[in-house]
Amino acid sequence: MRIRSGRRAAAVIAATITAVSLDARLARWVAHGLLDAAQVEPILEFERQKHRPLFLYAVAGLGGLAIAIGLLSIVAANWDEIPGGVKLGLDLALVGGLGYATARWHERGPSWAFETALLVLYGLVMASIALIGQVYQLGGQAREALGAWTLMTALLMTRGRSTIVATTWLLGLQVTYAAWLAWVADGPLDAEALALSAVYWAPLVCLVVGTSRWVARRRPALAGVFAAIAWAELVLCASVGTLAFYGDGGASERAGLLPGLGVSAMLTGWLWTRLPKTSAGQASRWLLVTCLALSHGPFLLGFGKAGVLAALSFIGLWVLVAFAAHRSGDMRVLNFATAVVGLRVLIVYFEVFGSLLGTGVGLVSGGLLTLALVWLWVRTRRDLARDRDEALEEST
Amino acid sequence: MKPRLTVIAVIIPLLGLIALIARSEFAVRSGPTWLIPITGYDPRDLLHGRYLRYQYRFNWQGEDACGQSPAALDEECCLCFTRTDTRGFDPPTRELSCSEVREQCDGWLSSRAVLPPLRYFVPEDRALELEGALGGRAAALELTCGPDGDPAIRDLYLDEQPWRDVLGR
Repeated sequence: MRIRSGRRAAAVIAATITAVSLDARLARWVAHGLLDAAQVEPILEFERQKHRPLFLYAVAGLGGLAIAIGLLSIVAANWDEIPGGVKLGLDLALVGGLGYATARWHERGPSWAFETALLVLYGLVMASIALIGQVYQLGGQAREALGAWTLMTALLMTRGRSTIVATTWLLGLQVTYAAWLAWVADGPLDAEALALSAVYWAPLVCLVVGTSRWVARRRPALAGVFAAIAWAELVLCASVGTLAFYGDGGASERAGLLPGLGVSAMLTGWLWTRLPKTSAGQASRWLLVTCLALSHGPFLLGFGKAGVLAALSFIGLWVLVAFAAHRSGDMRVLNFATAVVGLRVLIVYFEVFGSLLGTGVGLVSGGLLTLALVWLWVRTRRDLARDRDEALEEST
Repeated sequence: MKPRLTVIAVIIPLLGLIALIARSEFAVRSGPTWLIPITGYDPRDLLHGRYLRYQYRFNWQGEDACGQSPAALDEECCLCFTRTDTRGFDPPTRELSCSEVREQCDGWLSSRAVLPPLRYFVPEDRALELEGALGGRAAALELTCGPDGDPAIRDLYLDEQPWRDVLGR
């Protein structure tokens, strides 16, 4: 009893602190003539609606994911004591019951229960498809099951508003896409080069969704997750692409990449026009084009054993990532990109070890580059911190 | 928030699952059963748990009118079964053009559908037992020929008996 009243008191205090803090700031802005009294009430109402217990969503989402994976494992055990028909009947009842609860929670809340139910239902549908395959001994390919799962749950997952639902859905979509790409590469089509170039379409399409204003207005979490994962994957593709400078692809493979490159170039061009016309947007544009070039160029050109080009292009790419992060004020990405550049420079040291002259030149130039990098990083951090402080001062 | 759209969104997977079950149920009941001998072994499958990996051991007889040879199944051809007993056990089999099988055969399957690797899912707690039993007994699958030429598997047989009758439930 004492514990419960203690928890309630803590919750009341936390809510009061938040409210007082916002109220006090709003009062100060009204006193300085930045806002009038009529503007204060809508702001308070917006903040009240916007406030979401993120920890609750994260924990509940993890619980939902655990249940979904557990259901898959239970199905995989293929328990023999229950006849197949009964298993299917129970499964359909479970899907129907959870579907009903999901729709009800969507209408009446709480929203964290709705988001969790979405995750469980998403996993349950996959488990149900596996169960049907098991009971009827369909022995089908995983890609077919994944395709059916994606089609059946597409509309369902667009109803989610949390980050964890968006992330889980995107992972499911990409796993399905990868399974079908593997079929394109090794199946009856035998189009390995087309499948390889089509890998790049997935992050581009995600970025199209993530940068769509229509999606961002209706599902901000989904847009944010799609854009963030898309950028990470585009940079990953480009990073892997630089490794192709070490190899020498065949002419037939190179020709097979061209149709895929055409589609990627069109999508990139379209994204170029849609990114915001700010300094951060401009940096993102150049990063987008660089990613396209490095993801395809090294495979198409087929230089062969061009280690210096591989290292320089990789470092150039990540410097551009750091620059884009700097322009958008994202310190975490800036720090990460700087660390990646430092790591690649370290690898260059080992690559140039050979003759005494080569080792010496490599170490001196690498060391100078590292020091330049550290100087740039420290300066950028300082500039960003100053900009942030100025922005804070201006706002108060 | 559009609750009606959410209702549709939760109904779609339910209808999809019912459609999958109905299609499989229709295939299982779509014709007479056949008992085709198999050989196999047992690895693990991450998605479905335990399964037996097998291939059919067809009783090749008669002249093939499609493909190169029975040993190399041609994906464009079909397998033609001739019924010699009421159970359809180990039927004489030949490859034939898929356009001719409906008139000429008692049962038929698409060659593409019987290409290895094939899997028969078994309960987790019976997998080792079955693996051992498969080594010493003649195994066969009871199936019907689905309308699209895919086999609809009904049960695993050991020494011409359902495996649960042989090993105990």
